[in-house]
Amino acid sequence: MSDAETTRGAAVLLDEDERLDLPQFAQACGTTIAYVEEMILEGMLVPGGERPGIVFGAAEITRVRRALRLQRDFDASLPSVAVMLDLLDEIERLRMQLWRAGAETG
Amino acid sequence: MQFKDYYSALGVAPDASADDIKRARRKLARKYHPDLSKEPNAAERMKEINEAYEVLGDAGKRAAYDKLRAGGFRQGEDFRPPPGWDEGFEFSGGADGAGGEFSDFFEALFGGLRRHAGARGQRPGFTARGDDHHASMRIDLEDAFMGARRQITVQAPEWDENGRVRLRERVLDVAIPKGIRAGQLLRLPGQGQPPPGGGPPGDLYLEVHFRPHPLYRLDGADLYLDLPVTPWEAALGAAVRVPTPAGPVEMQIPAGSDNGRRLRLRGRGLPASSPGDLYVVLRVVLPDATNPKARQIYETMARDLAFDPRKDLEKQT
Repeated sequence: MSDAETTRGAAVLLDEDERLDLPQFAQACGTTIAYVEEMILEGMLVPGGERPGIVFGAAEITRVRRALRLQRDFDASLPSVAVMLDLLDEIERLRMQLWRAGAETG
Repeated sequence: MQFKDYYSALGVAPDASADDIKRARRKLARKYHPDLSKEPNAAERMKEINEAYEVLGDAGKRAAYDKLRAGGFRQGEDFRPPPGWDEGFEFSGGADGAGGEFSDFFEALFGGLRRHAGARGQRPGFTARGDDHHASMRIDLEDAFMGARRQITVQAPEWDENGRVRLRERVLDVAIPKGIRAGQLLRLPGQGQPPPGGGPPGDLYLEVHFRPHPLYRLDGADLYLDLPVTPWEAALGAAVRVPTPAGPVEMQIPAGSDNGRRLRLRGRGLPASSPGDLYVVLRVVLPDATNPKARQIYETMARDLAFDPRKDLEKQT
């Protein structure tokens, strides 16, 4: 357990402009193409581009990963996860407003 | 490695029914889910809960684990799995997609099976590349401002020649690019999981989070700073020194500023092709009236200033 070695990792920053195609995107999210397609059907993900050349922004990876965690940990259906994601977005937006107003959000 | 008491992790009795276990896990998930919870150790706790449920929620794994536990092991005790401990029990696979997420204890007991499950369950449409892994990384504002190198330790399960699993720690030396923002992802090609059958490893994604900063709040590339000012600085205007991540600058407070006024220092936020701004929020602080001189000045103001901050309230009634 203690034979740690140091690897120098070349890190690539995925910025807002980074676009991934469907297979790349699904792999990066740690899920299947079918799951991503289901999320699109539920309106939880809006891909850019037209089929078959649809692309996804790197920022959406975090969103899909969050959906996967919620679904796994609550045995929740995708539509209910969609509602959870919307509510979480709303909370985040409100927290941001509090922040800007300088209130403690502790 | 240390023995883990999965029953105490879920807060259930060893004779709890399958339904009790499910209920306990749901309840704890609502409290500790890292996407919902503000508990400081939520992610860590959720991992324990999921690991415990992975075992206790599966009849086969639970039976094998119960036999081990009946041997008298207690939480945190030094532990090696006795040879043949799982004989006669039937369970399949490790946790789905949990590579590296669970403890070495879990991996030693149940991880060995994932290799076979993984090899069979190859996802269609993919080459034999290993899974991509995700981890989060907490950095300081200064790291994003200047760019930095940080070391991060990742754990990944590894199979030895006997097919046994253990967690191997790797230290990655990561260059944090200048101007990185909260929630952005860093991809480290080839630093994910190698596939069970051998082949090119997947990538590792690091999600960037910022530790809270004692002075600045972050909003994308913009920074917010609360600046305490005196009533006379706010009323009469003043030149003040303001800290910025790049060092203090002089700023002019316009006369007649109110509490909460926001002043913008353009381009003093996080660096980027169009750098963020630093917003300075004025916080007027009153001197207390405990010493006689201050008291006298307040009394003079009360007498000489025709100031009624509530006059609009009066009009309404």
